[in-house]
Amino acid sequence: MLRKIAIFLVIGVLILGLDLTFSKFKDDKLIYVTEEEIYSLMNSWALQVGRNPNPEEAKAVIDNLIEEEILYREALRLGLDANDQIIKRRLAQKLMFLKQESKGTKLTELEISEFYRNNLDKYLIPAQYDFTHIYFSKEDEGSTRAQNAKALLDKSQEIKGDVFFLGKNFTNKSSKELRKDFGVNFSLEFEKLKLNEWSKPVESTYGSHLIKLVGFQDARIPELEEIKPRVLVDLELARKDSALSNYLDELKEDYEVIISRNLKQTYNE
Amino acid sequence: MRKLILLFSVILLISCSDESLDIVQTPIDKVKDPNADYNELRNAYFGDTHVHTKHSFDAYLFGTTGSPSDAYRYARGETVKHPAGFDMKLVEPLDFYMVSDHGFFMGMMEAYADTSTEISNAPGAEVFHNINAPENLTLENGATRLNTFAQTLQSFFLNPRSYFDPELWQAVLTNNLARGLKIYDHDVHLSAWADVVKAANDAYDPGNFTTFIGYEFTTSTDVANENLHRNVMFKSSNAPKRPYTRIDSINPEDLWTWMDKIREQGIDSIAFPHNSNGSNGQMFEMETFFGEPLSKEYAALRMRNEPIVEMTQVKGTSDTHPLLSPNDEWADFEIMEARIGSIPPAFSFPAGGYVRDAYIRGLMSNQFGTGNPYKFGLIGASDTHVLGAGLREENYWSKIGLVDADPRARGSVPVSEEDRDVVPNRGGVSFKEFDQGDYVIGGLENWGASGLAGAWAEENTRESIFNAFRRKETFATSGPRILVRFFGGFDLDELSFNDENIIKSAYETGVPMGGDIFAEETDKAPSFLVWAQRDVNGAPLQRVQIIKGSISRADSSPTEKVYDIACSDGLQVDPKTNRCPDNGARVDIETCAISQNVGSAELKAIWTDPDFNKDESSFYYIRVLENPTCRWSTWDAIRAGFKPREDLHDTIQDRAWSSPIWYTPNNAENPPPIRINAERL
Repeated sequence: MLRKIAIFLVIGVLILGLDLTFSKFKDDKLIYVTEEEIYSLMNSWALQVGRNPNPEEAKAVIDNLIEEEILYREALRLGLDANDQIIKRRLAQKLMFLKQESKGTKLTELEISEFYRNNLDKYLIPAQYDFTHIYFSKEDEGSTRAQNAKALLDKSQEIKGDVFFLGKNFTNKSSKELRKDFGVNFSLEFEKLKLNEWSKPVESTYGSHLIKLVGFQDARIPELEEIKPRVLVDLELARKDSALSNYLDELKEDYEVIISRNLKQTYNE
Repeated sequence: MRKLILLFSVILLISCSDESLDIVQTPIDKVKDPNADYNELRNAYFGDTHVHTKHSFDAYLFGTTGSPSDAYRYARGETVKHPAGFDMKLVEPLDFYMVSDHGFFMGMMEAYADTSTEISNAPGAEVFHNINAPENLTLENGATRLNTFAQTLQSFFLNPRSYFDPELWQAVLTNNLARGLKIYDHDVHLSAWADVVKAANDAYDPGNFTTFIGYEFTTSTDVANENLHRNVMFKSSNAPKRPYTRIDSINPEDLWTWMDKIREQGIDSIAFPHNSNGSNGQMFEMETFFGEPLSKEYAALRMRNEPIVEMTQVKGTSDTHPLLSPNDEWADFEIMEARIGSIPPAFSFPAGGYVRDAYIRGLMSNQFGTGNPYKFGLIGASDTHVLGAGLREENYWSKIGLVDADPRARGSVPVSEEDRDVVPNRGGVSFKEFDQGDYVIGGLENWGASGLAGAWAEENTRESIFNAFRRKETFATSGPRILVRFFGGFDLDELSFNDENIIKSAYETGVPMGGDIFAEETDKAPSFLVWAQRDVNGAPLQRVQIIKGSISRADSSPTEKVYDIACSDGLQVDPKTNRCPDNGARVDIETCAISQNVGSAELKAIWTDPDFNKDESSFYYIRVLENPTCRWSTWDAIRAGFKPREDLHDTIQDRAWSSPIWYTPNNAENPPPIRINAERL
């Protein structure tokens, strides 16, 4: 037994000795410049300057590379990478990119329909309105004329407005389209309109309108089959993002986060 | 044995075909949304037909990693990321969109960057390795990118393969020169183009959102590399197996002949040139590409394939130049005088580079009996290289990704000595000292937040919008969604804006923008109906103008005149000066706030030409001006806590231009008996 321990110790001491002898030539003090590195450097040089470097310039380029490497290693040895915001961010970005890119398995029907069900509001087709309107141009005291016209209309008298650029009768207009064509205020009024009744004057970007809603379709959610290509694209994207957030969530479980009490107070105030 | 070789060669020759003429059938079975609009009097749809994604070699180099699908998502109103990391989103979604990546080397840059591909081992490709890995997507990095871009064009791309390389023989046999280049990978290229086609077909939503398959034919003259870029737009869901590019030919006439050939196979397409302003006068020359005189055949070939010109975009506006139109007070609008791609910038000769001048040249050519090759309609577009444009002065990110994402790099904010590395080194960048510090000069400060195409179409489908382009029933805007109706005819003066059916009557009695009117028996002057409506998200309108150009019968000398025809706020045009009085609209340069309650929501007029000459060929087009607002450079400056840079316009009057209506007299093609105006040519 003792013999075995002795042999073990002798071999161990030998290895330690060898390691101490040769370690200064190993890894952290050896700079090996590969052919590819030089080739790539010379190429970038040629691209930027427009000709190949002469021997002197080539030497300078390689010297630069070597000096940069030495400075980099010494900086690491001195621990300068710790607490450097730029280095932190770059490493974080690198890992983020790797995690986003890692491709998953093929999508299953179940996944697709599940994703569709969880994102129904994203695929909502908004309410659509059919209406006619009488328009009074801003250019010609529209709001006053609209007030007067509304009074006449309530007494069932014929009234006439101005001709509107986009026409008189509209079908299947969603609130988004109304916002785009008439302005925000106009589109918001539609939720308050009653079917087949003339509204009070409603202001748009262009003037005042008396509106009669003649039909509408409630907002609805399309069947999966109707919009499958779109769902597929969205799912692919969501997967990319979730690959990262899943990874982060897993890691977060191993970390304990303590936020400075002073800071919390500042926030609360 | 010899027979066998001969037989083998013949079989080889027959079996190899020109892939640019092979049509790939990719039918789509989409039906129009039953709820979507159909209007026989046509609706105005807005779109951007000039958009680059990661498949463009330069866009990828500028840091763009988004795909054509991402571009279409942006157009529909979704949020996508700029290469510099911020969110891009439209205020309102667009109606139509076309990804138009550069045809040559399409998809190649991404393949060089991805070190797992075979082609990334090609000599010289190593400078592109991992160029768009996230750690390399920084503003500081933007500086070197443009330099790499400029240098690669010359030294890297055009390196032929050896005679023993089978790919070189494929190049010969399939009539595809690109395959003979060392750094070209045919499979990568085909798959990028297939992705462009698929993304367009997938994103097409008939009735709600139209996409077009398209690409940019990025060519230039062989004399001084003068810009002759144009975009090609296909009508159907099928497309050729590969795009016809500048490697096939740098002569646009060859492009048109190719378009003719694929049209015979049922694939209709049209092309539209852009940045004529930076073409050094070559875009609308009075001769052909090889310096031959114009001819009726040339005019017909060109007009059959290029009925449209993209006249405003980020790299400047090509309506007219102050030197060409000294009497037009609004001519100095987003003028960009550098030749496209010139480093350092070289001055681009204005004549032959602006559309108003081109219209005059077209009338002249027609009067000389050589047809009119410049009878085109107008659109605007962005030419964004980052999937999408902001299109608004207050939401401007220029267009070349990391290279000009920083306001200091685009010259609107001074650069301190320490921050010089955010500025792209465009082969020796210049700085100029002003009161507030040193600014970058030499180009990007003269780019603008343009533009959009408007098309009058029955419905939002490929067919309907493509037909509007073909009819030239299109208009251009510098960004805002100003609507403009424009009709011409001899009986339009009888119409009334109080008539609910005025547009229907206008279609019946006149022609819409892009149309022709011809001499009548009577001496009556033609009338024009104009109706413009402001963008709900833009500024109010200030005035509507008609721009008229004509040439004299005697010596073809041109006349050009700008008439104000409708003024805001109920003001009247002064008949002596043809100008509206000042409506008093102002901009507060400290905050960019604009005058409230000044300007109009709509402007309309029926105008009869007071200077009509029955014998003179003429064209008429509309320009609608908004009230002034802050230019993007002013927004950049005040956000950074500076005053606007002193040598730039601090405000801008965003605007819309209609396609023209042409008037043709009797015997218009009879050449005048006497000299032509030599000074003009």
